[in-house]
Parts: sequence; structure tokens; C-alpha cells
Amino acid sequence: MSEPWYRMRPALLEVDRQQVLQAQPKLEMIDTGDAVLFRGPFLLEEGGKVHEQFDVEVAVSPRSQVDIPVVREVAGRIPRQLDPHHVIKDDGTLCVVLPEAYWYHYPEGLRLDAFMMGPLRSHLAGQTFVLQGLPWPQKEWPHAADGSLAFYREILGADDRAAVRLMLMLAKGSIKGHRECPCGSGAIVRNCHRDAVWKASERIPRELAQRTLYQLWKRRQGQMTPQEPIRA
Amino acid sequence: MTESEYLRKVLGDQTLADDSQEMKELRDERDNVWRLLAAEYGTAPVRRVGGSGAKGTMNKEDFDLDLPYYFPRDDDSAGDTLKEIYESVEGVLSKEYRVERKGVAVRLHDKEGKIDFHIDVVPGRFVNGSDGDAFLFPATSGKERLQTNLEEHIAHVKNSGVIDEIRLGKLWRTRKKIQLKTFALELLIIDILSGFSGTLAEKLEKVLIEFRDNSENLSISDPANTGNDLSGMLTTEVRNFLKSAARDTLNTVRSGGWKAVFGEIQEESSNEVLRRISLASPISRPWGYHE
Ligand SMILES: [Zn+2]
Repeated sequence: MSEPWYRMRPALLEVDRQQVLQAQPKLEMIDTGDAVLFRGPFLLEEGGKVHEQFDVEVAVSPRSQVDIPVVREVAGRIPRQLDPHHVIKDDGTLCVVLPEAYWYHYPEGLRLDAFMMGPLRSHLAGQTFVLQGLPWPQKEWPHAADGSLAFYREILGADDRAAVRLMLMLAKGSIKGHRECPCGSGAIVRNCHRDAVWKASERIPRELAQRTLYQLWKRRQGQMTPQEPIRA
Repeated sequence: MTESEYLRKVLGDQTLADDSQEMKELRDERDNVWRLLAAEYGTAPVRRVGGSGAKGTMNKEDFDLDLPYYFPRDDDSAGDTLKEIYESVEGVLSKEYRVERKGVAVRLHDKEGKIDFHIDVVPGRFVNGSDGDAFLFPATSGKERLQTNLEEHIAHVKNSGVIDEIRLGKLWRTRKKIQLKTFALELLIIDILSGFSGTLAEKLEKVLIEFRDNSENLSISDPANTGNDLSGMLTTEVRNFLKSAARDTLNTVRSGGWKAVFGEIQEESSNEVLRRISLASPISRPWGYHE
């Protein structure tokens, strides 16, 4: 992998650091040499009152300033269970967002402070309910490739087969307005799911669709159980 | 707690969560309206969404959904004249709803007339092509047509910088049962507060003082159409009502503060705050692996 962006442009990291500390004043930036981490208490605050807090470690993505960071809860308050906590058992990573949904919704990505005060803050607030034995207030995605599949189903308002057809188009990078719409209506894309198909192809990295298709294919070969997490 | 902090609590208490039952029902009903209309007219007419949801001025106690439904200039599938379009759309909606003529809109109730869905369908036709200004049919006023631009009106309200004041003004109007259209009230508040700076409480007071002291001279002009004088919406009766209601409220505020006007607000529990936070991000939805 090429040099992380924050090594090449340290001034940008400094801007991010200041913005993160403004949003979450108890976090501290730690540069381990291998990684840049923000560590410490993450406050769920509103109206001058801290309603809950979690000790977290947020690893800045080396790939880009707006890529999805890796987040862990480090005090052991959140059990390392995929169900119901959506935490990866071996490394304690919180599954905050589905990458497809992230890029579809934020084509420019989010800066670190915006990620923290948006999806991460909502995620941790949701965890407080699960810790009380209550359901997630926000909806959940199914795990692994099934989550991606559900996402494509939702943007098309159609079934699994339609979702797979869209992923095949995205994986090949062959989106044409006059092709048949992946939803199966028989109409051409331009007259059917034009917006959803265009947005998906412009915004979602092609590798994500390729990876999901690969996982689904492997599962069909019986090499993988549906609940096993996807690895890149 | 200052007066403005109290007023912000009132607003917090009036906020409708996106996943609340009211919002779900509103969305379901909206989808049903679109389905019903699409079955009759196909996909050429342009569907829009307006009302307090689109403008960010929604209160629990008074919310509404405007559904403009505009035919392209050269589309005569619902009729030639604005009156024909209005009546055709009204007819289609009346298959599943009890309809009420309300200004330029068709207000929807359930068939028994027990439920008011707070939905106004606004039939119209674009002045040119299929975008921009539209002509509407003022079914209850006897006028021939009205020209407006929904996007411009929404933008005018959204960018006014006085959304909180508008929400409080609407709540006040609803509680005082003043028959003034939201549209008109919004424009009045924006106009009165333009160039006025102060706290939330001071601004709300400024609006009421203007209603009390200057009710005869209030005027409304359409932000989308400068030639369009909407002051006709302010009848003498409405002006008198505004004046006396504002006077009463200002007296109440003098003696007992805003709390005496809007009442005690229950504190939100931590769980309620956290639930709201958990639903704030549109993409917070836990998944099963994050690379
Ligand atoms: Zn389609």
C-alpha cells in the first residue's frame, strides 16, 4: 500500500485533529508510528448533559481522509458478540456502517469529526439500548454479504435476484441507460430505476460489489457459512 | 432557565421523530395518494412534496403535508382548464377519500370523515413546460387562477433563518385557533423579523407586538411572484383576531412569562434523548463486518 495520506499531508491531519477534539474533547490523538488513533471517552452529550459515554479507539483510515475509520470499544462494556451487538468477536470492531450505504449516501465521504458526530454517535447511542436488553432503535442490516444484498434490494425495492443483477452490472462497470433494468420490470434503466442505478454506479466503489458477489459465490460452493464475516 | 431556553424546550417537545407513528402514517398515506393518481394519469404529472415537513417547520400539534401535483403545460389528460384539472384530481381522490376543498388544495379525510390526514393535494399546471412556476385553481375563492412557485416558497422559508420563530408562531396560532393560513403566517413572520436581531424570546415578542400594534397595515407579498399581492388572505376579521390574541398573549407573558402561554414541558429522559440520537444519522444501521 502507498504511504498513508496523513504521512504525506500532516497539515491535513492536524486540521482533522482539531475538529475531532472540538466535537469530542476527551479524545486524544495517538500516533503509534504504524497507525493514527483517537482514543478516550466518547461522550453522548446533549443540552449540556452527558447521557452516556464509551471508551473508544478510532483508527484513522490510511487510505483517505474520508474513508470509513475502524472503531473499537476498548473498556469491554460492549460484549464482543455479533448478535445483538454487531461487534466482531476477535478484534472488537464495531460494525458502524455498511460501506455501500455510506458511499451511496455520502458520495464525498465524511471527514472524521462528521463521521464521529453522525453515524458513530448514533451507533453508540443505539448500543446503550442493546446493553439494556432492548432492540436497536435504528434498523439493523443482516450480517456480511447479506447486508449488502439487503441494501441493493432496498434501493431497487425488489428481490434478491434483482439485487444480484444490479451487483453484476456494478461489478462489470457496464451501466447503460438503454439496458434492461436490473429490477426485472422489463423496462430499460432510463425509464425505470434510473436514479438508484446511476447513483449506485457513480458512488459505490466497484470492488464492494465484486467482493459481495465473490462471497455469495463462495457460500454457494459450501465453503462458507452465511454468518461468517466477509474479509477483503 | 432563560425565556429563550424555555421556548427551545417547547420546540424540542413539539418535534416529530422521523420514525414516529404520525410520520409513518403520513408517509403511508402519501404513497397511497401517489399510487391512486398514477393509476389514473400515469407518470407525466410532476409530484412534489411541500408542507411543514419539507420546510422544517413541523410541530406535533400542527403538521401538514402539501402534495403539489402539476401537469406539464401540454398535458391535457386531466382536462383543458385549471378548473377541469382540479375537479378531475378531486374526483380520483374521492374514490378513496372524503375530499374537502381548501383554497387551492384538496384536503383528504377518511371516508367516514373521522380522520383528517393533514394532507393537501394541490393540483396545478406548469406555466411553461414541466418545471418552474405553476398555475393553481383557487377553488374556494372565485378567482380564476393563481400563479406560484413552490420551490421558491420552500427555499424562502428554509433559508429565512427564523424557522424556530415560525414554528412557535404556528403553535401559537393553532392554540389560539386563529384562521390564518400557514403560508401567510410564515411570510408575515419572515417579513417582520427581517433585519431584526435578538434572542428567540425577543423575536417572538417582536412578532406579537407587530400583530398587536400594526394589524391594519400588515401585508403579504408572494416571494415567488412579486406582482402577487396575497394581502387578501388577511381579512378584517383575521386582522382583528390577530390583534386581540397578540394583546392577550403579551399581557400573559408580562405577568407569567412564556411558560404561562405554552405550559410546563416534561423533561426528556436520558433514554428518550439517546433514542433520538440513535436515529439522527441516516446511515447508522449496524452491520456484520466492517473491513
Ligand atoms: Zn427498474
